[in-house]
Amino acid sequence: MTTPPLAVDALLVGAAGLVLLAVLLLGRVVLGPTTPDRVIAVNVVGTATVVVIALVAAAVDEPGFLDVALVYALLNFLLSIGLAKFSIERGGVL
Amino acid sequence: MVAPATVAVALLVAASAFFSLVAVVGFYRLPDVYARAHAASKSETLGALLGLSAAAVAFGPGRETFRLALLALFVLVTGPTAAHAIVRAAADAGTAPWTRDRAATDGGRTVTPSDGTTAPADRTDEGGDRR
Repeated sequence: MTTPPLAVDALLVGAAGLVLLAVLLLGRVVLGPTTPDRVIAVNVVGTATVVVIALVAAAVDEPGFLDVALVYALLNFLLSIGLAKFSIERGGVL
Repeated sequence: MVAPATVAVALLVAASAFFSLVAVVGFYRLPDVYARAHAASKSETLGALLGLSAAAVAFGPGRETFRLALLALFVLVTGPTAAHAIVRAAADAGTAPWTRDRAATDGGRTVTPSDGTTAPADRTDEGGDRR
């Protein structure tokens, strides 16, 4: 199914908006007084990136990008869990 | 005449951008890491799910729907789990939650280090079994 041009515009505008919001979130990464603040903000930036990849995949009609988004989501989760686990000397985290 | 699928895509993308904006506002307005975890785990997850459903509607039914459903399920599970893990690590590291008393002294914006943000005394009794 070919995506209609107006839907492509909506998808690209939404992706651009999400990129803008992710850039705004980087302010919290810089400011955030404690390390967990920064880690949570980076995690949200990663989630927004996954959505942007999915939206661009739909806009350019390229299903292969969805695999990239899936791997990115996995790595994002691994990053957060790893930082939560190794930022404090303790056994389990979850 | 605009196709109904296009309208659905536009509405879902707008809703996704709105909830992501709510998450960003929460990140700047909420006082400490425990409150900010709400913005991260609730608003951002809902915004991500709406964005992924917009992509699914744009792709139409097919194999991509299954892949996007898998992606949505994964985001739904891992987003709040990661926020929970980070917040629990912060709690075990001795970060004091925001209270109104502390808001009177520092404007409610930050957790002051003197109140236990960096608390080596708290660490010795909790992580002592691993050394």
